[in-house]
Amino acid sequence: MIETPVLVGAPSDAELTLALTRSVWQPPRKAWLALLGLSGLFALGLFALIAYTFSEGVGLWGNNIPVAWAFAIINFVWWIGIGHAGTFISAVLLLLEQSWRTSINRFAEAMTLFAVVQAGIFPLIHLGRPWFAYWLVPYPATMELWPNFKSALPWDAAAVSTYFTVSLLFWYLGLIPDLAVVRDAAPGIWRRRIYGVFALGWRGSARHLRHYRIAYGMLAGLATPLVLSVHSVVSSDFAITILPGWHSTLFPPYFVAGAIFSGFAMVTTLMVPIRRLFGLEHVITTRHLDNVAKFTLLTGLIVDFSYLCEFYIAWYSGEAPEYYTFFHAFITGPNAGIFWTAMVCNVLVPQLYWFSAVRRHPIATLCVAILVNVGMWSERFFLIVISLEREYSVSAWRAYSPTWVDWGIFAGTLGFFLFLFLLFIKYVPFVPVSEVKELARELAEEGHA
Amino acid sequence: MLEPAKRHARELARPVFYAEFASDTAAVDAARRLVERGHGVLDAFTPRPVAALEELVAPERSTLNRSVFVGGLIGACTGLGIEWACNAWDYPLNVGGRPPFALPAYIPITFEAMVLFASLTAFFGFLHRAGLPWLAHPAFEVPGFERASNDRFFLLVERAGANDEELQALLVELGALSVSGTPARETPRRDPDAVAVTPNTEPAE
Repeated sequence: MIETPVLVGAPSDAELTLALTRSVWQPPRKAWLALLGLSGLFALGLFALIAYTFSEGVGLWGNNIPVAWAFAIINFVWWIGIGHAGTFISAVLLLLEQSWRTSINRFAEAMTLFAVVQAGIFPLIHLGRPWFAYWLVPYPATMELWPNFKSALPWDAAAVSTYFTVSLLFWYLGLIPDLAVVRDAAPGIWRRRIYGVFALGWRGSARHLRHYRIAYGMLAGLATPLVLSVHSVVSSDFAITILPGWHSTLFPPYFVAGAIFSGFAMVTTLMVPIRRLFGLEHVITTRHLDNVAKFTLLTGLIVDFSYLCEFYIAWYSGEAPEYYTFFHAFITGPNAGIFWTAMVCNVLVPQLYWFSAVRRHPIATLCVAILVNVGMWSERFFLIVISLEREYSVSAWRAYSPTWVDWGIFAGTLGFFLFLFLLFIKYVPFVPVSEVKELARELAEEGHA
Repeated sequence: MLEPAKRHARELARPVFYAEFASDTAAVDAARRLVERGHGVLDAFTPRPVAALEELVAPERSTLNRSVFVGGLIGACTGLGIEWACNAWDYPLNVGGRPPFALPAYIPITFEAMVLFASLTAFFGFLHRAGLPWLAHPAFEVPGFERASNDRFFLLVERAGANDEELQALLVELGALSVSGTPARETPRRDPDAVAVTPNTEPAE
């Protein structure tokens, strides 16, 4: 079988500049404007519901005792997980010198950034008294108290804020040469000045590139263990409690695999419409769809194996509460429908990716990816809600159901994410121009050799 | 390493030519021939990394990685130090019988602080070494320099110790599409005249 190229044709430098920056100067399309308006409305809805929650309290949500975490933490874990594939694509694949990463790394990084923004909202609004959020930070308080660093929650605060900062630096450092490209191609002095300020005076100097390459490689090398640490820390929030269904040493690798799995699904969900909308089929080729689908399948199999281990250990341990959670509450409990949705979407649906026809067909791979996103959200739901609904003591059992405010805030973050992402793909070159030029040059040299 | 301001002044004080080339191969060939003839090629401005030009212009390896190592080390010490100071030294609090200095529980934040400090060092260390941001660099006054980010390759050639006309003719002979020069100035960036540029010398077809 002939392999599909990572770049179709042999475009010149000038052609690539034009093709990859054209969308920045073209007047916005109607479809883009309509989507921006719609997602903007959802974002406004999000802010309104946050204001409503702050004025009335978290009693507006479906949370109860014992199900105190519920939607806020489900959404937090889900959004953070989505971010992981972006870092994985840009950092790990850079270190492994995978040339196909070049066309999609920039928007995968942007996806990370905006997903972490959504994730960061939830722990703060879940606090109940959000104006005391700064208590997580060590500061010289009048009562001379410090945060308890033996708890997993300060770890979480440190991990998520570090993750956001490093993702931002990595994304921006990669963006500087392309901002210079846009600055130099800009029609009109004002756009030239605005992009010029953000380009920091980059001029493609060989002396700068020598340091630039080291800085970029260093950030990639630092982001790689970071991405593994962040979801491990998030999983520690669960694993260090003694709740049946949570108290497991399997959680860090299980969560990391699930995170990268859902993130790759989100990359497909965004990549398929973007290449269509901007006519970039020659830069984001079927090879990219194929490779991302393969990664989704691989990480999906790790997740499936983790499910298997969890159930096996629940049976093998002989612990009655543990056994009850897995073999009764998950399978037949009040929210068992969500459990089975997760099983179908995360275990059965990704198996379609064994067929190259599905991996390479844009609509088919998009459908699988959306179902995986649904499945991973359902996994966070059953893991958090069902485990809490069925604690050790039967007298503490209580059912949970979300309210319209819960659903509204979740839908609002989807809108806010899409809003930020739409602005990004319109005003920033979302395919790295100079890296694609380098790739085109390398491919041309290989062709001649 | 020089302070950026001093380095800016030194960069501006040098009389130079900006020679524009149509392809990376033309620029590399020209740069090699210039070096052979004893002319200084100070820098190259290219739309994409050109390994051969980098080796010629800046052969020494960047030492940024050393700074990043030190930054990471400082970060790890800071993270662990804060945890120790808060929970073991200033206000030891018995939570569930755990020891005041519980190293395993302190590892996550130590690691995150290490990554954070190292990343900040990498980013700002790069900016410092590159002398960025420098928005009004004289290079931007060179006619046609906006194509350095698109499809043209510029060489920065030192004029000191060479006859201007001869060097100009040599550059054109080596395939330069245009040659622009900046005059020598002793004063750094605030002097408006420091960025004055002589007109283009277009080669006769």
